[in-house]
Amino acid sequence: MKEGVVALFPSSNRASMRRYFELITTIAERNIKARYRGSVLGVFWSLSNPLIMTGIYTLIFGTAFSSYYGNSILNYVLAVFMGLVVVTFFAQSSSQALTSVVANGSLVNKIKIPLSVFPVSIVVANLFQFLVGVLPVIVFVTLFASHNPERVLLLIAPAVSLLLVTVGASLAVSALFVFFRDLPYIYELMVFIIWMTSPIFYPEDIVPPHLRVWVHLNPIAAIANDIRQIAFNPLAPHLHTLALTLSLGGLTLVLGAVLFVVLQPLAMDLL
Amino acid sequence: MPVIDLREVSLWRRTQEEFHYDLKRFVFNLLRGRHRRPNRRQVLEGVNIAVHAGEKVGIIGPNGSGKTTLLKVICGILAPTRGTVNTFGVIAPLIELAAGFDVELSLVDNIVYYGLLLGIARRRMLQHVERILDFAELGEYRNEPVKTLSSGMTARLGFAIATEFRPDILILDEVLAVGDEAFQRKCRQRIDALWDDHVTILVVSHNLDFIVRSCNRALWIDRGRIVYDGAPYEAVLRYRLKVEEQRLAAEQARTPMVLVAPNHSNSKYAGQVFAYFEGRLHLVVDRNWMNQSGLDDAEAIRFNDEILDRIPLGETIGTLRGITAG
Repeated sequence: MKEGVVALFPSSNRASMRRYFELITTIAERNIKARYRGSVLGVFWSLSNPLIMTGIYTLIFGTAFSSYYGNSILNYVLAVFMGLVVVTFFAQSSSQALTSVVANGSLVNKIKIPLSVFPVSIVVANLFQFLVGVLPVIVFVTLFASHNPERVLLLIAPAVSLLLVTVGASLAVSALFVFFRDLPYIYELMVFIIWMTSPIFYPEDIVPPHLRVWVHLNPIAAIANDIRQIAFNPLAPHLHTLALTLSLGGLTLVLGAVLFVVLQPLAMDLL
Repeated sequence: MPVIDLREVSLWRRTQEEFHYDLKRFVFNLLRGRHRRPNRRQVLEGVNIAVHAGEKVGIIGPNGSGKTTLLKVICGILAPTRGTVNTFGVIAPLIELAAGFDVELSLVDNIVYYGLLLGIARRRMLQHVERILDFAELGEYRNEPVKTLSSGMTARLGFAIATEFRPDILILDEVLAVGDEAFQRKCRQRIDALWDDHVTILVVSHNLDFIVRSCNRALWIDRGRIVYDGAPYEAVLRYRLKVEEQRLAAEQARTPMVLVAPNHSNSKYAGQVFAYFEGRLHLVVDRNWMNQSGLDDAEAIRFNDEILDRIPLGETIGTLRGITAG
């Protein structure tokens, strides 16, 4: 049973750790290359989705909500954009990761590979896109709005939280998909619910006060809030707010990883 | 010390039924208390093997007896339900060579990726790219995507990568020969070189003569159990005898046996005549033959309801004479 109980890593020795990380980077690289073959704009496509969505939300809700953003449409635009990049990163990565283990079913039946490399490398591929396409824009907006380079450093906290949440959710859904092949439809609905219940394109102030605690427990909403606080609020955000978001991210990762480790040995029979 | 050591290894696997493939139904069943554990089947049972360095072990047995599953357990692809598996050294599985390729990517990218799957570091793999392309005779395609290769070329590439490095333990699921005549000779030379080397080899094959010729030990597996472990000649001889025995038994099963349910009893089959062949019970409609063949009900008394219930009932047939003749 020694082998079966082993967690996400095949074993703790250095050679297999190195193999694990090389597998992740190589599969992620392969993923990126396949995605942008022949596309001149390459990774910058990742910006197009949140930009277009921001445009649409601004057209529809811009005037209605601008009073919550100091009567400035520009502030609304920036706030929506900062929220959208968070939720799109989460939704795209985890939805792509969902099928990744099953898609490699025939491969893992032929060579010993830790199953977790597939969802994790999908997140890494999306992270690369994020770092190249979206992050510079976030940094620029933060500098532009706050005139304070220190704020840029604070962005690391919500960015790490986002990564933790996304890896956790990706591990969970990719393992569950092995057992429940109707999961994509249900997960699509869940992502939609997360999207709608996070104050992304509407101000948090319109959420009824007794429901607001749920907004703060929703890691995606918490991350989006932190980024906006850092970028737009004249007062620096409390460090304990950032720490709380980080621990929400850590909790999601732990839950996802535990689920993955528990399901992994059972999954091989259905791949 | 053995390089492969399996102790009391048993493996149960879940049968692939559609039962749990649906989250909606799963939750629904759970709520109604109708959730049942998925069926599991025992694939390996109490397997003990100790293979020493340099041994060439052939594995024989009928289809579905657990040969490939055993290889998967040794490779670490499947974890045993019970028992322990210990292996020492680099294991190279040579199962279905084209499995690891991404057809959209170039040959060079695929070589590096494939090497990683086999556990070889990226930097080391890059140093071997030229040699691999040379052996596969595909140097001119290095930057083309793999999908431009023919299936024969793809298999050549797979073989060249997988045999580039000398593993400690080589796992072969059927011996492979790929490509055209000339390339097959090259393949054989490479395999032979590994064979002569001190490499430990495990090979599954239905070619029994090959096992006798090339291995110095053979395992005969049947229904997940090791039936015989020893000299290849002995193993193959015993296996062939068993296969012949089973063929004869199957032939016997095809000749029908006549069953008559007792007339006087209150059996639900009372008075009916059956023919039993091919593992099924056939209801015989025409009873005239009974008088002619002088059969009486007493002969059929041992076939009580309990036994008849257990045999699946096949279709109704016209006369018994027809069957016996056929």
